Amino acid sequence: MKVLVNNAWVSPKSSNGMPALDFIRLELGLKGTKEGCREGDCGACAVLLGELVPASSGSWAQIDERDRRRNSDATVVDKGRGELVPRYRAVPSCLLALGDLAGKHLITIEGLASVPGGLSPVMKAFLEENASQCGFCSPGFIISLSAWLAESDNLDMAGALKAVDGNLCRCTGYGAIRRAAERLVKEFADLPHDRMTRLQRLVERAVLPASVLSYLDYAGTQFKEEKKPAHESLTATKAILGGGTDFYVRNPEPEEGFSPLLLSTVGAYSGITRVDAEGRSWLRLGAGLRITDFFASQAVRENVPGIEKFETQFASTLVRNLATLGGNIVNASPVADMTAMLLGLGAWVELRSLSETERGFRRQSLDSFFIGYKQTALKSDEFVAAILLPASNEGSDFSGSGAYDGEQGGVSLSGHFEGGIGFGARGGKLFFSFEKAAKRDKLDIAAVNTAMSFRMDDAFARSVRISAGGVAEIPLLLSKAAMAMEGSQIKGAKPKDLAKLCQTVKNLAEEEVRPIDDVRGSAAYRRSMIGRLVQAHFLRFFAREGIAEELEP
Amino acid sequence: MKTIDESLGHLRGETRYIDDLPEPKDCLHAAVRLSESARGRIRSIDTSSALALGSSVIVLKAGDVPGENQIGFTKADEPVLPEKEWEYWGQPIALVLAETRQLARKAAAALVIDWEELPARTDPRAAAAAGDFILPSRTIVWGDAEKAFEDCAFVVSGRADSGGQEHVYLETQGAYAELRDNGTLFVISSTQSPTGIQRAVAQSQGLPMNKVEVEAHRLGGAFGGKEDQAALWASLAALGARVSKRPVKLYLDRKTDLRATGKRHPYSSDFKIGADKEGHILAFKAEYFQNSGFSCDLSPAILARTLLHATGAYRVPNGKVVGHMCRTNLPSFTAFRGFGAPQAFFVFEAALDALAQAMDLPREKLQRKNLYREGDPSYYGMPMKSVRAEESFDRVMDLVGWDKLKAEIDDFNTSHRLEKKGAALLPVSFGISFTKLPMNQAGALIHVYQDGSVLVSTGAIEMGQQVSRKIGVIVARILGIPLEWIRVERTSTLTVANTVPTAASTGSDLNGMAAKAACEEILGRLKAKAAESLSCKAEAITIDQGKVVKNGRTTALEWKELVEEAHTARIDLSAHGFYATPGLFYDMKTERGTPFAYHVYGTACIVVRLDVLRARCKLEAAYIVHDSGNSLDQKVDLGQIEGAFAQGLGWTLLEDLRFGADGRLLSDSLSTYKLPDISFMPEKLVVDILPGRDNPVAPFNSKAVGEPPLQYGIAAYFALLQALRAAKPEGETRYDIPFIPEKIEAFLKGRAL
Repeated sequence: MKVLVNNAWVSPKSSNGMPALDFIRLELGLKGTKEGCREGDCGACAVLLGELVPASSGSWAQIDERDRRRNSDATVVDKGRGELVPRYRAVPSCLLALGDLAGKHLITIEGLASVPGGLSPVMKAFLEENASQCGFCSPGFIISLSAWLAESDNLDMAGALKAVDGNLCRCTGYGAIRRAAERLVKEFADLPHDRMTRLQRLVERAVLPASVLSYLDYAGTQFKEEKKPAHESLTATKAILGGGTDFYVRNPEPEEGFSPLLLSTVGAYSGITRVDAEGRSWLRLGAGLRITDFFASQAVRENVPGIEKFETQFASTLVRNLATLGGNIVNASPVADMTAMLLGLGAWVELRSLSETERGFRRQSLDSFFIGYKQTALKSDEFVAAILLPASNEGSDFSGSGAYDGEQGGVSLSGHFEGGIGFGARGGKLFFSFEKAAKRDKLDIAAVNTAMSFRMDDAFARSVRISAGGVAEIPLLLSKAAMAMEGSQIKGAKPKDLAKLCQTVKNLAEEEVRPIDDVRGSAAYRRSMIGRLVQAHFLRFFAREGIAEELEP
Repeated sequence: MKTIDESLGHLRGETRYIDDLPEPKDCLHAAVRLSESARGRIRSIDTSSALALGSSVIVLKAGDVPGENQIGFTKADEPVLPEKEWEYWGQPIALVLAETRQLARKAAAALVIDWEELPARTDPRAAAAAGDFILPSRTIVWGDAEKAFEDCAFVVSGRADSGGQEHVYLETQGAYAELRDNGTLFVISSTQSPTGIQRAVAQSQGLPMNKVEVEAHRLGGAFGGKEDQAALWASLAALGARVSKRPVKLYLDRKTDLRATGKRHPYSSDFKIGADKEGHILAFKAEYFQNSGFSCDLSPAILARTLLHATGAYRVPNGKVVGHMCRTNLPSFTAFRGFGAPQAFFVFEAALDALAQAMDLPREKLQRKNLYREGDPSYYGMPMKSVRAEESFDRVMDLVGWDKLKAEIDDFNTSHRLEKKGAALLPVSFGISFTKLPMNQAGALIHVYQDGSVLVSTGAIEMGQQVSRKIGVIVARILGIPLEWIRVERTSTLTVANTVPTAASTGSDLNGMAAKAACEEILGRLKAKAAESLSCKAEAITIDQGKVVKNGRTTALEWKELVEEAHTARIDLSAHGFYATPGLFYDMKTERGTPFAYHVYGTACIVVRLDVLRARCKLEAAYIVHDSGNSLDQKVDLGQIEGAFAQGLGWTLLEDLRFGADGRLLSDSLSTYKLPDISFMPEKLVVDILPGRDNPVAPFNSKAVGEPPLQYGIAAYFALLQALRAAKPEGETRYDIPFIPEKIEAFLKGRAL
């Protein structure tokens, strides 16, 4: 394995499961990257990770098209289509497995300081605004804002603030950092949208080192030749690591020689990081899909209108760039935000066996996947390969039988939907909402979270789903609360009736949960908050109907 | 010889903190084993499985401490390693050394401790009831409160609680120690108090102080947490180096730091306040139960500051305040920016709020009526001078357009069912000086080198407050040379001895004045030399922008030439400067005196928006009018104001330091202990600096700035309270910060916590 570290290729000596932070500080001796907390909560260890990736899945129609053209060799989709785009993202190196650096471009603060003149415009903005006091957090902020210039579609203040939502500073109170960001917004308003051109511009303007361009040349030639590891290399004894954003929090300094199998390199399922369509009924999200890519996916956005609004409620930019969909689920945390969202959307999981052939897999509804505190239905030789999202296709002729007509395999679909809330009703507009109660708005683990969705079929609410996290030992689907709304008239309903419905749903939700006391909140608080957040869902759905005047918090 | 701004190195990732320093090849890494209950008796520590992990593993216990097993400064009640009993959950009970940090940590975990549980206490009021105090309680009495209450038209009493606060300096605690020739110990510590470290290491190693050399390069944040609290880690590293005869580095991971180190004192307080029918406050009483933790640490000095800020920025003619240092089985609570004053401000503002409620009077009316005025005597006998309480209060009201703002908020609250707004003002009067009198001194050493460049060493530790820049500005102004020719060095006990901690906002005042004294001495010698060269009297000489000026006219003689000439003429180009704040005295018996050199004033206004449905709030806007004297560097002062304010907001609304009833720290990670991030801060923040006035006790009429603005954050609670009352007028007020969303929810629901 090789990695381009700033301006030189390096072959790491450490094992692939070593946190990149230790590789950077201990093996490479680059001390500009700081250790602040080792749990992705401070951003002091942020680094830039550059790679060349297939263009994002594109819109629903494009996926559909590709899906039809896809041949049996699913691992090489995008090959030779020239759809490679560069990506330079900021990630917390304390939660990043060294193995995930293979073939990529790692830029540390020393790399950014290697630009001509030794002072990048981001550093200069900080210097002029006196935005660095004790200096410990500064490299992380510089990395995050440099990544923002390289990656973001929002080169405004909102975009800049989002870029540093995972960076803590204890000295400045953020005033000077905000002013430095304002300078950058002005200075870089004219950056082109096209990523390749933009990176060239950023190299010219000394934001990024010139090695970015040579890396992209190199990676472009390498990509096509890259051989993904064969399926045979998977063994049931190896731990599979997703993004690492939870694993390394619990194991900040793993044993020397720790060498997990990285989800990103599970080659036989290269769809592991992709969004694909399966017919017109499912959206198949690879378990290795990063949270950032999930929210950026055009297909996901088309299927769940407005879902991107909730992106920033999930951890931070740094963590989203690393965390995976599969990891968030398989961890079985009762308060995982993505799990709550996916549960609320009626997602299924695809579990694949490591020991059998590629086709040995089964699927089951996500709500049946969690069987106890941090316990899942995964067998010891299985891993989560994908998440399936019911596709939203108005007017599509999708039957509610639950039959899965894909490949052969242990498809298990029976009995997971209660009381007729099938996934058949795919017609109608999808309403989706996510709410979370935590001490801090950004980068905080929820005391309680909940997602709610339904489809408006004619005038009625169908396929109502309400999830609730942090209120039981597993993430819950509140079936009684959802049932109470199923089939209710929505369109043309009076605000009073909607509020009454809301009250019923709220009361049932509060009854259905079974929270406990802990550091993030008491049981009484959590129970009460589930009710309040259900009301918040209703407020979001029916604000225009005037429900605000009727809700009784 | 142009010096580079320190922050340039930060931005380029070149600045080296303790963990970044190059390690000698034979360096050992240290780890500590922490206790796992609030109080326990050690029967034995079995080291065999730890030692079996590697030949480099060394385990050190209390018995290995060669000197006095004691590092408490104020009171000898804090062992380096406990011999028999541990007194809080997270106390280091053994030190482990190994070739790698990972191995050391693994070996520490492998120690088998045989212990028995002892009864423990975590509640300060329970400790007080049992009479378990760190030191005797203190009381300040003035006027006759009991009699005054009888004359009051309104009297209210209540309780106010404020939580602890974790420093979260981004660089955790750490130290590096090395045994040098002749048994000398060399220590680099991440500390605000190199002399304190020197003393603690000397004492615990049984060495004279002249055999211990301590350096502090720069700190990745401290905020009070690396004052007394750094001593343990340096002492442990020194112990390791002395025993192993190899360099030792001890650097705490975040979890260990959170569990083992001290934080801001939680307080639980009772108050009683009374006013006449016009709203003149006539009497105030408070009893503060300071949760001091297991050892003395800085608790008495912190309590002193509480007692000396009991009435906030207000004049109260009669009163009695009592403070107890309650011993509990928790980490020793310690210095944190504000140092006992924020706790006092909160109690008084809570009392004032309760009074305003009882009188059905707007808070701000009651506040404005009772502000300190010029010449008012303080209750501890110090006349208040250069008072700017009313000035800053009125100015912030103008700045926000208070009447209009209140009307807008009323409109908003009428037209919104699910959102409410509230606004509140908070005036500050903060005394500058260490409340412990002997600490108000400082030294500086200045060298002018032959090429004219200048090196400055003082006791001021650079920890992000940019005191180096301020001292550089002072030296440049006095010597009359460009800032770029000056370098402000790290602090070492070799260059400046017997320093006091860089704390109490006094860093640039005390050390700046000491540097000034040293500069003036060198300048005097240089002027005499220049007078000789230019054939005039020394009084005719000044130096400006690196050039010698005679009778107001620039001459051809440059600073560099003058320095060279002086050196050739065998004139001493180095000087030591010393400063002791004049005019301070305090009589502990009568509790009267002049404990402060001066006060810093200011007022904040905060507007909060409450989301009634989701039971949470957003800081909408904050306005601060602050008195920072004639600022030495406006950007530095702005950074201090904004930074302190953020910490105050965090303490008030967000930072939830939580211990279980069993004494275990529950908020033991940054995923459970949240501090302000960029989006938590007010959407709009306006800082307005009052025009400077004379302040002869600080360099160039500047004013200390580190701590006073922290108090502004408290306004957020009272603003939120206004919004909560708009949402639920019958809601029961709890003066209990941090007022986290769970408490918002409880208020709205009328639920007990």
